Amino acid sequence: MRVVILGAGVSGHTAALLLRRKLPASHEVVVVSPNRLWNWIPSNIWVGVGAMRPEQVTFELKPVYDRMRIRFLQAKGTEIHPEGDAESGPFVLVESTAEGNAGQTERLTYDYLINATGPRLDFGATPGLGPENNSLSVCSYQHAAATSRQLDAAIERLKRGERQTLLVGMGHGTCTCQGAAFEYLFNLDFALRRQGVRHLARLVFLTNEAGLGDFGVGGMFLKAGGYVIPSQTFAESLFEERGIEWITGAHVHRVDPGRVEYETLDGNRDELAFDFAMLLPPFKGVLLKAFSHDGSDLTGELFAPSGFMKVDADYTAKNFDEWEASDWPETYQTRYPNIFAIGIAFAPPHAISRPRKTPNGTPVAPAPPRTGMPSAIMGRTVAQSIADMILRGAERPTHGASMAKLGAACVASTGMSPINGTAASLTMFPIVPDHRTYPETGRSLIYTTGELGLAGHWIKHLLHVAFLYKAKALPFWWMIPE
Amino acid sequence: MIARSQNLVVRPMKPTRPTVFMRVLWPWQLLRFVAINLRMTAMILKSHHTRLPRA
Ligand SMILES: Cc1cc2nc3c(=O)[nH]c(=O)nc-3n(C[C@H](O)[C@H](O)[C@H](O)COP(=O)(O)OP(=O)(O)OC[C@H]3O[C@@H](n4cnc5c(N)ncnc54)[C@H](O)[C@@H]3O)c2cc1C
Repeated sequence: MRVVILGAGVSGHTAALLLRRKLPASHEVVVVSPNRLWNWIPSNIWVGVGAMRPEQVTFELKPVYDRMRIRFLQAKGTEIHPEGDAESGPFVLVESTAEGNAGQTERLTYDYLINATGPRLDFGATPGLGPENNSLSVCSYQHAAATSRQLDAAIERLKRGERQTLLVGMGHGTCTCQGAAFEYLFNLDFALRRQGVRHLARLVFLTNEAGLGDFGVGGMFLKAGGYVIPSQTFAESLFEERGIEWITGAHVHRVDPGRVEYETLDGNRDELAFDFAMLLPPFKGVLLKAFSHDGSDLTGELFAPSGFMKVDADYTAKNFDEWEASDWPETYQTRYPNIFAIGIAFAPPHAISRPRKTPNGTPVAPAPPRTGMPSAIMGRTVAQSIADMILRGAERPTHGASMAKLGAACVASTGMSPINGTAASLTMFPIVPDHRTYPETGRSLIYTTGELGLAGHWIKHLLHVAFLYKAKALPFWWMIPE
Repeated sequence: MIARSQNLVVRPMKPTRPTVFMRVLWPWQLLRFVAINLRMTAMILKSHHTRLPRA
């Protein structure tokens, strides 16, 4: 049988390596991904402040896949034909992105398909947003390297005594991944202190979170000093300590050269002049279409309007207060039993952080994050289910991993140095609050923890080394947990 | 609208000097390194996917 995996990121690469380990050589594992390099995205933050080079966060995929006997196609999936056509059974249409034959299309039949295509960076949602326009990004290693060069220039100006405003945050009211912007902001602060120019820089954080510490998961409660304290208290404390200003509940309307225009939850429209702006884009699903046996368009049935793939979740439209933890998917199987969607590619059933609107009706609604650990666990879960379906004839997925039952460990860097760097080490359980089991806080107060310190930085660096080792499938890679 | 306030009454809490010092004090951080790793291991064990009951 042939398993095709679209996407070689955190979730798809995990699924591919595990499937290859589980399936005998008579079965084929094929990975389709447009980039020839694998990228450990979390460390792009460090590339963006010049603390790492792009070569330290990437490696060539083909030699790894050759060694693992996985077929690699440097291409992007464009169409899914889950029912096949007169010529063949189910297939995906892929378009090469490899040098020399870019644009060539190929029909790739499959027995099982995993959609692990991650996000499409939707810079177009806000006029002027993005590296091709008026702001910077750290979402890819290329973006991060360009951002680092712009930062060098800003530091040069600061060294000449010119005051600068550096803006970091979310470029749209529906963005997710606030944790990444938070990390970049504090690494920027740390880098400027190291260079001795922090006193000349004004740092501003602009976010769609209604309060700091929301992180798109509605914030969390932590036990400390005999109290149950909201994450907002700790987050504000850190901003205050480092002298960073913040604007919350904001939707960015447009980014002009050196100027951002935004609206906040109280309905005010305002603007801010900047010399350097790193603003993350909202995420959409990648541009994949689906067609039935007779060629009619199935895209709307297989995908949500956001472009993410619908899986075994409850997508019934409900008010925010009516949703249940059990609405979240468990097996990541779509309406076609041989198609799965994992990581950022699956459509979440609802927001985790309360969606809001300004008095003018502008949505300010952080989308739910799907971070590295749950994405990789989904990769493992689906690989095990497919292996059981192929090898043991299981009729339905045998493994599940609902974000309402999974926890997440997350280390957010707040300064990169093995001597005096720091990071916030966070754990939360479960990711999606379960108000039936934990009526007051939504999450376990035993397993939801956080602390700031140098130890966190050591762990973050260790994770960088360990996950790159694992992704390169070096000896005993499979012993490293997701 | 910058929410950072100069008003002492609504000002966010700030860590004390010893707290900031302990955050980068190597011997203490080595202990925290072990403790955080144990905590994260517990989280990994608790959050691993589940085998679903067969129909
Ligand atoms: C700057 C930044 C910092 C972050 N830091 C952290 C962190 O510290 N901790 C954490 O847990 N998470 C972090 N995250 C989130 C983490 O990166 C994601 O959770 C994770 O990458 C999601 O994995 P994925 O497999 O769904 O998507 P990705 O890892 O994005 O992989 C998607 C893959 O699909 C490929 N692809 C795209 N289109 C197609 C197509 N049409 N056909 C085939 N393949 C396609 C892409 O090239 C890529 O290989 C961060 C994210 C960002 C942007």
